[in-house]
Amino acid sequence: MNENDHQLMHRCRAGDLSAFDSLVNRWRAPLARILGRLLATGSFTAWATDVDDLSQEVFLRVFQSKQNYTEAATFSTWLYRIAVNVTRDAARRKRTRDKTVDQLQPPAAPAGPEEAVCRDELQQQVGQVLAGLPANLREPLVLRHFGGLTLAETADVLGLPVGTVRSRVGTALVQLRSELHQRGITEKDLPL
Amino acid sequence: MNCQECQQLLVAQIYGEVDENSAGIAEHCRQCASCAAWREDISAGRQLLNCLSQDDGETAGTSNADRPATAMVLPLLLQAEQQRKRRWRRAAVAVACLFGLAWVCQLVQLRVVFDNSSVQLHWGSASAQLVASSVTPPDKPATSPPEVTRADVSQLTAELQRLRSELLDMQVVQSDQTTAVASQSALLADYKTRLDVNEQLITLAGRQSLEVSQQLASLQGRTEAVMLRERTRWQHELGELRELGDARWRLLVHRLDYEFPERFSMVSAKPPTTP
Repeated sequence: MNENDHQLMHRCRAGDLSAFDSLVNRWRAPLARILGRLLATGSFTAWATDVDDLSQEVFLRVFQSKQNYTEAATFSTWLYRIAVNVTRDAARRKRTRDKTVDQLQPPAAPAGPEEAVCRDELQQQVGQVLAGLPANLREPLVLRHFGGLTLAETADVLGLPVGTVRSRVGTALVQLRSELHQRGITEKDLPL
Repeated sequence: MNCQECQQLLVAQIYGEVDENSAGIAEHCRQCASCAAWREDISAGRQLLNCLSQDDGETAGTSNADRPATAMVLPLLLQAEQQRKRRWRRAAVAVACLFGLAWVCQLVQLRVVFDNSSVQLHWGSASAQLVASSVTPPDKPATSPPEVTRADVSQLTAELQRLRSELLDMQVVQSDQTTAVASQSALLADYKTRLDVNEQLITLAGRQSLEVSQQLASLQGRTEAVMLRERTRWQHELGELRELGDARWRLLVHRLDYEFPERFSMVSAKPPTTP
């Protein structure tokens, strides 16, 4: 049952829904992680329901365009390209909505010692700074750092030259560190 | 290696895609302070980002984790299908409404006349035109609108009824003409069919006549051949009969001559024929 993604997509194209189930179960968590990072912009943090909706939309597009899938690239590249497009569409739609920080879902309350509280606070700050990056810097950084893609695959997903992706990822990392320094957070604050 | 190339390679290097020593990055960073600072910045940024990598699933939605994937996606597929059908239905209704409107306009013979200063709607036959509306007032000086009396209403009603009856008459005439055209078309088709049949018959008769002539000539030749053959046979048989009669006669003479030699000596006196 250790079929790779290409084999599963081949079965899915033949009409086997169980193969599609396997693909969704395999890629649901990584996709949700990427979508959560791509969807968070500015002061807006991604809701779990938003991520769920976008995951459904991404897998819906995968199902609808399964005949267009080719084995020229990896499945993750194809999936993340769809995810980036879906996220961009969602961001375009989201501009019409007005959500404030007060309406946001609060982070999960840590039921633990003080270190866990500090760690969550640090994660929240880093997440906010990451969400505050411009989309053209955040997308390659999220795909490379959280999606596990190589820089070349990230460039393929975004349709950009590899050199541009490298420059943007570097700029995003530098800008991230600079913003966190302004908030008084350095890498020394990271838990060991 | 310039600084831009080095900084791009540094990004690849901190993610383990490029070897530091083989690419000559370390040597460049020893000589270039800005690239060294860049490397420190991006390394620190990556370390800070790593703390987010530990929260897998916290921001990610997990409400559908227990549901099968098809149960998650198939309702959306059905919804998309229904929306597509709804769009088609709306388009069909809109097209039907347009056709209905066009049919009504044709039925009432609606015409729009653009004048210099007005737009007029006319309907009915050309002999009885009614001005339905006017967008701009005529150039005449403004006067008070004419009063509409009951007599005018009755007159207009009668005019309307008359127009309706004319319309009905025209429709009847049109229907008759359509029927006549259809009957003439059917008649023409019948004539064409008959003409085709006649042409086929003529062709067939000519072919049969030729065959009969050929058969007659053949029979005549065969008859002449049979007559010639029979005549020859008849002449041959006649010669044989003559020879047979002659032979019988001679046998009879010889017999008589043998039995009665004295009495028929004159017969035997004849010279004997060769056997």
